[in-house]
Amino acid sequence: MRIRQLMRQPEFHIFVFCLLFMLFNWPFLAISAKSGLMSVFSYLFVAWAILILLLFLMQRTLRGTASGEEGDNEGGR
Amino acid sequence: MLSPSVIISVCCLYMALIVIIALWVERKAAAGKDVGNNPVIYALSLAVYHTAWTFYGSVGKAASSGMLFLAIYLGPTLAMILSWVVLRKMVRIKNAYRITSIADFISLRYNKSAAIAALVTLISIFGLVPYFALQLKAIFSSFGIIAHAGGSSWPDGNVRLGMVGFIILFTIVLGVRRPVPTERHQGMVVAMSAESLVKLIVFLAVGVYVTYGLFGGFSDVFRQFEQSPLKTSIISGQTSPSFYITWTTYLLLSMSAVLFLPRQFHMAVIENFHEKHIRTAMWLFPLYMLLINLFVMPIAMGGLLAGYPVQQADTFVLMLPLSTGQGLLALLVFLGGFSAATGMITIASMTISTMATNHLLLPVIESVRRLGFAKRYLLQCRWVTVALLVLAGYWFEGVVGAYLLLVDIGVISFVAVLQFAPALIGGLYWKKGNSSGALLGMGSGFLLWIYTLAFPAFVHGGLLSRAILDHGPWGVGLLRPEHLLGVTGLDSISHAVLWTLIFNVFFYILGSLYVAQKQEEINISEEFVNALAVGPIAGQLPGEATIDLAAKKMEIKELYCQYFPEAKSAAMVGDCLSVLKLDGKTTISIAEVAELYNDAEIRLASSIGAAAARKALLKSGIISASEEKTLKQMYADIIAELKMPPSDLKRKIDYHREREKLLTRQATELEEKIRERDNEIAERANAEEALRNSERRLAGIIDFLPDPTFVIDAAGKIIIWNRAAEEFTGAKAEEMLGKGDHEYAIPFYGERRPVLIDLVFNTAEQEQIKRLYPYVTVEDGIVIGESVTRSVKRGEAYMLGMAAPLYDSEGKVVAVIESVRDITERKEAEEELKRHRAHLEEMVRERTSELIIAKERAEVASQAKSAFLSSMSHELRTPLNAILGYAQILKRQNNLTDAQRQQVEIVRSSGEHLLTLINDILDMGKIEAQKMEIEELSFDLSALLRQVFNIAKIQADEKDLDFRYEESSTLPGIVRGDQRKLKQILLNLVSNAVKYTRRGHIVIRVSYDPSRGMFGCEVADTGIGIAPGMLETIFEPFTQLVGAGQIREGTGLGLSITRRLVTLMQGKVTVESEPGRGSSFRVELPLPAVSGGEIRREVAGPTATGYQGKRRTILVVDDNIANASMLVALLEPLGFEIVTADSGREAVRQALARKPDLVLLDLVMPEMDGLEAAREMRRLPELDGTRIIGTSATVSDSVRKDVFAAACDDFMAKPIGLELLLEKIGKHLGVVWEPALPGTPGPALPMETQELEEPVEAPAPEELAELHELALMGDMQGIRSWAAKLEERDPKYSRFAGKLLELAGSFKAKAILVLVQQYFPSRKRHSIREKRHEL
Repeated sequence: MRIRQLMRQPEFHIFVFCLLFMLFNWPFLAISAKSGLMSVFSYLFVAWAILILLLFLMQRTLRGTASGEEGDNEGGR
Repeated sequence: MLSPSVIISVCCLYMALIVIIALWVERKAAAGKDVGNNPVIYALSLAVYHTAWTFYGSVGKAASSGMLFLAIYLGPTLAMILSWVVLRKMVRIKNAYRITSIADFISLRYNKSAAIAALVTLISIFGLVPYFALQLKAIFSSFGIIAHAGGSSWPDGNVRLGMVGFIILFTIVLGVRRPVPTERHQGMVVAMSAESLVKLIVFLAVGVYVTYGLFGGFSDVFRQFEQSPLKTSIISGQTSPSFYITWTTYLLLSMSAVLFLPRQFHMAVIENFHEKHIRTAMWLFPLYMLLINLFVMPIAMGGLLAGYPVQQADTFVLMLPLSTGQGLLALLVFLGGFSAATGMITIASMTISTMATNHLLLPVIESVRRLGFAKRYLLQCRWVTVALLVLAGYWFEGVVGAYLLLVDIGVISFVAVLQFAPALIGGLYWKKGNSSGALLGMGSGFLLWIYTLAFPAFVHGGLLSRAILDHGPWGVGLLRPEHLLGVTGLDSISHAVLWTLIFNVFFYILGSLYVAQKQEEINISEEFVNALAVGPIAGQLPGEATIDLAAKKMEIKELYCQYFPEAKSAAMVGDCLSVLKLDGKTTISIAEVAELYNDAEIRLASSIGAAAARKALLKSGIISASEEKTLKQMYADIIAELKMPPSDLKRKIDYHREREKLLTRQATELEEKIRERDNEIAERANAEEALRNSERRLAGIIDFLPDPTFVIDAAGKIIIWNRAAEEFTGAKAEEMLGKGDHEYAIPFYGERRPVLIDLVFNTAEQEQIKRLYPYVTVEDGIVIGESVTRSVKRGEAYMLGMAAPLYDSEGKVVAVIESVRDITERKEAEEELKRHRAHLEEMVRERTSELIIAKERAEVASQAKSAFLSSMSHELRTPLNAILGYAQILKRQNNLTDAQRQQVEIVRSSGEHLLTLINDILDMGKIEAQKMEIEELSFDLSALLRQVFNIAKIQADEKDLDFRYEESSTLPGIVRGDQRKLKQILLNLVSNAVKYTRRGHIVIRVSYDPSRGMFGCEVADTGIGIAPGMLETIFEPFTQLVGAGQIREGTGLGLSITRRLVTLMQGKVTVESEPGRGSSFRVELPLPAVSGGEIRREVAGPTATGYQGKRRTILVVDDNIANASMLVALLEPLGFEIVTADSGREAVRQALARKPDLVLLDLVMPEMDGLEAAREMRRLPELDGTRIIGTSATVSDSVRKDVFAAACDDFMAKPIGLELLLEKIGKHLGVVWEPALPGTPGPALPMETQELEEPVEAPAPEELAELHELALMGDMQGIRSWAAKLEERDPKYSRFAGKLLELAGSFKAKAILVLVQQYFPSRKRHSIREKRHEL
């Protein structure tokens, strides 16, 4: 429940944005690049996939907050 | 291999398929089925981001710069993290203002600045033309590759142009067919989504083919590549600082582009069906990007490993399948690329054409009057614009396409679009950002973009001299477009991004801070900034329902939640919506928002007060500034639509105000009336409630009544059926309630029939009811009747029914109640009673007959008694007649001594007393038989009193009592009344006093009230007295008070007769007594005084000695010899010739023979009685001159006596008073009496009077001592001897001696003692008494 409350806050979205912006940037990118192209490729796509998973989870917490939606219960259907 | 015609054919088919999809979707939409309203389609439509640049350019970029291409897609992924914050906000604003494009959006934010809109449009055009070029370049390149592979040199210029024309046509058909740009293009969106799927599938197919077909998978590709020398070109770049700068730049650019590119804005914002679709896009669109980029590196590396040069890397996707003989795959790749390119061109040209038409062309048309006609051809203008844009791209491709990679061209566009970012982001989150700042920022950024990117591109395209790039304009090195201010170390894109952003942001902030915002701009900036906080914004036409109701609901609920629990808040909001009939709506109009606002405020005001509620509502921002503005605009529009001069408007307003006042007044009055009516209704409701309560109580009371009771209303239906009725009939209340039509009779009678209730309601059924109820009565409105029931439960039973009406307050009968009582037992008891009564009556009849017999017997006995009394009276009176008569005769003798005269008098008085006793008995009989009559005769009251006194005095003297007579007032001489009865009354009283007094005195006090003619007499004594409880009983018959040592005397009838006589004489008798102290009887009688002339003398005249005239003959007829002798002895000395007869027959015979003058005829005689004799004599004419005086000892009032008296000339009752007889004889014979000679005794005066008047001479006291001694001893014989001797010795003592003889003869020793003591000195008495004691 707390995670749900956490994820639906706009500030959390901005936090994730900043976090990912750093993860997809120097120096993390440079660190992964040292091990070769494959490692960079793997790092970026794995991180990307994780991010998509996180986005999937985040959007689930947002059910019911869009205008025209009736409450949060829709998310449970 | 694939021929160009096949390729074109496939392309055409593909495009046709896309168009068909689009048209199908739009037809569905027209039918109400929104296929495009789908989050997946929305997410796929965003993939229009993946143009030919992605399809081909990513591989090219990967081959040249390694992973750098990925930043183009990681940026959008990062942007999608913020999509719920940013994109949703834009969507909400779009929904609020029906925005058509990004230019519209930005200009709206900045006070609808046309300049900004135009600038945005220009930037878009300039920025997108290279993009078009990029797409066209990709199409041409790919087409060329495939065609070349097929041996053709296509596409040449014409084919290219034809393809451009085809793309223009496709764009117009797909997206610019309708004149209203605000409408959603569902068909196009779905088509683009389909194309996105095609792109992805194809690219994945190629990727899988290359990675797993040509290589052994990812690791194999990477391993081979890293083992090859090619890797250095990529790896080296990966670690340089500039790489990360570029990386970051690309991230920024792509983040900006995915939202602010006109086509992206269009797809993400304008075509958004619902905010919630963003949620799906948040993860699905990044996933799409991940998938489509997954095989970019392998393909790039595969291409390089296959030996293709880096410069051709853009075509690796196509080349690799082609080179390996996968023509079909290559064709699919071509289609995928074609699809990506046309998609981008279609969307971008469509949206830019709208922007260009609206923000560039229209202002020009508006400003240039001659171009006014063009307004009718805006759609066509948009077509032209589309064509021009595509052609411009075609031109650009031709100019610079050869010098730039696809990615580079795209990035130039991205940088142009980046110029929107400060104004747009600032507009969404910074309220102070204004149009000046935006204009300055975007303008400066755009100019720098031109200078730092476009200009170099043209230089690279050979259109301009390279000297400027190398030395700067006019040789100023600091102004070199790609190294402004001498900045080096950055690639051209990063450089451009750096400077454009610096300038753009700087001027945006500076301009915004420097130039003050207009109020409208402030309002709209708040709308934009607070778009998510305050919900969707109302910026539409007032009547259109475009405002999101859910958001408003949420805001109001949040506001309410500050004051109330959540549940209540939700309920209040629900009430708001229900009242305003907004339930079920998703969007509402501005007018409805205003109503909702007002209702919400009113509801809140009801809890926290109006002022606080207003403040809270204002603070809540439920009606945003833009909504407020819209409202104002709505009013303004309304006024504008009226199209009237101000004066008219004012006049009308005044008129309407007056009317409003009037209506308000009327409304107030109406409200007052409504309030009154409400009050009335409330009162009525209360009354009804009270009535219902009353009815409930009544029902409750009735329910517990012991008798079966039910109530029928005016409609004839049962409304109450109590428990007793249930028990009696077995019918339950729930079954019976509500039933009508005489159904209530069924449980009682087993059939429908009228009952008593119906008699109250319906008199028409009266006859039938009377037939059914034999005994029906109505008492005080209550109908009572009895009947026999044959109820189902009870069987036959007698019932007593009572029905009464129930009235309402107006006296109207609203219901009738009937109570039924089972009177079977009572009836049976009555029947039993009847039988008993009959039996009793029979007994009474028997008893009555017995009583009648007894009565008859009693009457017979009574008659016998009367006869006996009469007979006894007659028999007693007959000898008394002789006794008294002879006594009177003797008294008339002159030769009698005083003593003898006294003795005769005693004989006479004793006879009189005996007569009185006989009369008492007879009187009592008469009184009881109510036959006593009162005589009204004049008499001498004083004389009567003297007689009474004298008689009583003798008795008193006997007891040695002091007997006094007192007159308190003067008595009249003669009064009228019943002398005999008065005498009897007084004698009774005085006799009683003497009887019950041992010692002391007796006083007779008489008085007379002449005014009332009332005689009063009080007899007081000092006797034994009467106990209070006996005061009444003493007047009862046979009551005697017996004192100590007393014996009973008399009949005990005295006082009873006294009171009855007093009552008969209209008087009254009272008694006062104190036991031991004496009694006082008082009699009051009306005795009117009579004047002297009226006196009829009833006593005989002076005593006669004879009569004058001839000798008369008197026939004395009496069967009693003594009586006859007495009359002979009386009359013969007076000179009459006396003839006697002892019977009637003899009397008649003697009368005929002697013809007497007078006959003294007795009634009761043997053979022929007096009556018959009298009748016979009357019948005989010879005896006409003979007078008859009837006599009889019979005193009872018999008819026979009356007839006898009537037959005679006169009548006298026995004992006959001699004086009266002489008077009657004188009267009837007319004789004149010869009076007695002087010295002869006169008429007999009462001796008492003499005693009162004449003193008795007594011997000397010494001589009386012997007498006193004799009296004390009670020696009556000695007293008589002593008296005889005294009279002989000296005649002067004869009266004294006579009195002694009288008293001694009566054995009245005490009276003798009293008499002696009168003449015997007390001293002497004492000495004598002492002497006696000595003896």
